[in-house]
Amino acid sequence: MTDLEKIQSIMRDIFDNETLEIDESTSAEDIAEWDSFSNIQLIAAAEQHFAVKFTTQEAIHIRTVGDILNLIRQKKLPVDKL
Amino acid sequence: MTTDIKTIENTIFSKSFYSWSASEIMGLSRKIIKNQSEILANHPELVQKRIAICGTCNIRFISSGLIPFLMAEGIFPLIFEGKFNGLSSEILSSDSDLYAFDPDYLIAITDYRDIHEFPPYLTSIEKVRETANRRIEESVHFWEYFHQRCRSKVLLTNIAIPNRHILGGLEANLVSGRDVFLRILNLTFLEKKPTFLTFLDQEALSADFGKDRWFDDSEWFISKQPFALEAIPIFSLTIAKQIAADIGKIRKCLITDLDNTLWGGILGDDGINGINLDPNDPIGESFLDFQKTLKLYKDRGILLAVCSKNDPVIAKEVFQKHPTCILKTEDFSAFIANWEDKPINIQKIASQLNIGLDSLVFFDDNPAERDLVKKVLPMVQVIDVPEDPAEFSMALIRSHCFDWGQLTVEDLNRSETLRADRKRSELGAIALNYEDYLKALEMRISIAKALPHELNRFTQLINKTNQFNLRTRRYNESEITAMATDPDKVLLRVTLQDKFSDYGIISAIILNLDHSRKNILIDTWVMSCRVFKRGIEDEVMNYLIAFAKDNGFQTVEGEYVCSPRNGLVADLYPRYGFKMVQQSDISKKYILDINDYVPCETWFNFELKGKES
Repeated sequence: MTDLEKIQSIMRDIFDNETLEIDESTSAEDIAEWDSFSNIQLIAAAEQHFAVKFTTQEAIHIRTVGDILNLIRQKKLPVDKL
Repeated sequence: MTTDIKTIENTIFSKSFYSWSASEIMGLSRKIIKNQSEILANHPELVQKRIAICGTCNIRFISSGLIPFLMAEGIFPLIFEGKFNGLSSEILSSDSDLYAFDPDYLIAITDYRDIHEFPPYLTSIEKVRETANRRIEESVHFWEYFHQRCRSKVLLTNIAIPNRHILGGLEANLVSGRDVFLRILNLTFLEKKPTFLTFLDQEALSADFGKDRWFDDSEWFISKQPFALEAIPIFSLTIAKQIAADIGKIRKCLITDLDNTLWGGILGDDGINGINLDPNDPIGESFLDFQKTLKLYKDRGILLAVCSKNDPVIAKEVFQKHPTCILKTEDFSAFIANWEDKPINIQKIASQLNIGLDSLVFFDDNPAERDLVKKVLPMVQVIDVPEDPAEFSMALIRSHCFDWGQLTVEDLNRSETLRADRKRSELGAIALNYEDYLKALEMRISIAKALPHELNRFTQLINKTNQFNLRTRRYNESEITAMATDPDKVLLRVTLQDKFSDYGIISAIILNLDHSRKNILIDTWVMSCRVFKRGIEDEVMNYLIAFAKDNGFQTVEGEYVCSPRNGLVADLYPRYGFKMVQQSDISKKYILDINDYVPCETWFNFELKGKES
């Protein structure tokens, strides 16, 4: 599973929408349920899943799926793809 | 598109979500909200409660996390979410949405950030206490203001002392330090706590969770969530347990296995000298520690019982003769060792102790036995026992299975009372007939209006009695306290003593007086199952009729509302000559003209019978 697919599965769960399709450009404006409340949940779930921690500055500037993926790429140590 | 409703329900009621992350639980919560009317229709046994959550922070996450835990405890919550930092305004303006919502429970969340006045460093302890007293008096005042306007019970967090030790190691050495001040605040509030208020021990929760993980400052700055999202599950579980206990869902008895549960090894193979209860061996010490924990539970009023596949004589011998065994035969209220199936024996224990299966907790190291009990007796709580006996104590404690809403003297003496019961039945065996037996018990009864200090036990009886309970109406302590001063209500409590034990308060009655109709309605009548078949109900009825006569009433009305557990009293009123006036599938209403009443013969010692009006 790619990171994007993982984020998609987290978002499907949080937004309770099993057919949700996202790409890097998907933003809060595209998803009705993506509000400030679920955004916190999304951040917490992503941090937990990828074992990373976003700074306050990073967290408050997340607007799109791409923002999350970029942060994860910066923070995650390279691991072997299985 | 959405998850199947059955899957959601299974997740809730199997409690399988307990191990989920906060984010996953909030996802579940969202699914529950979407399907709530269907869940309620499928589960009419859920008790609906109006629950308001207010705080000095953002409470959306907490409220979302709470829903699945409440449902798992059998409560269907109607939630009111207070505004961000809305606590003061919701409470101080009597036309606020909170009062309009009229909650059964108000969960109030506050934390250390709300405390602005600290004593200056190097202040004397007297001055520190003065500052604390002043602050707590204001808080008590605030809550009393709410209590005068709303019948709701309040669940209020105490303060979690933060991991911000400005003085470093000195913090523990100066009475004027900030940490110490917060501790004193918690303690002072406890000393001055009004009865309608219950604390949620946020301080203990945060310490158990780990303060460095509990406090997530970034999360606070971003969303005003007062503690880390990951702590929401344990926080919610604690609240749900507290509310469940308050509405009478409590467990009273712990049933344990013996081999590899209370000691290491198999008694039948290793013999009394071969089992491991060696205080100098880590494994032996683990089992001894678990026994010590059980003793502590016994001392707080939990009944202990043994259910083991063993020879009964040899098994009892361990508790009588083993030199290091901590628990003794008399610590157990029931002791069953034989080769029958455990579910059968568990049912026997429940009937011996005269308590429901839903009052039982089962602790057995053998996963096969646990599975069998789970399947055959789903109402028994089965503890997931870890493999390592060193973890037994904490597995039991962490299960929260004995979270009660209150503790009374009657609870603490229960195990002794039950032991006296056994002696009593021996007396029964030698008495010629039941009447002689009752006389030989030398029972002393007192029936009187409940005094303020008795309302705690009075409330507890009303909420946990299932069998001798005519209408199964539940009232919380705030409601009972209000009734105690209502001129149209009479709250009667009955105490009983006999030759063997002092039972304390064993029956609670609420009467509604209707002076214009000259009628008394028995709103509530409950009696503890421990004192059935002693003629107490006869004596109470004699008293009620005399009370009605003395106060100029002509009729007494009673109602029997059928519940799954109160078949015992289905025919109580006709026994005293009450005539049925109305009948439906679940209810029968009765009336008695007091002139038609024939007093019952009873066997109580009249000297101590209180009859003050």
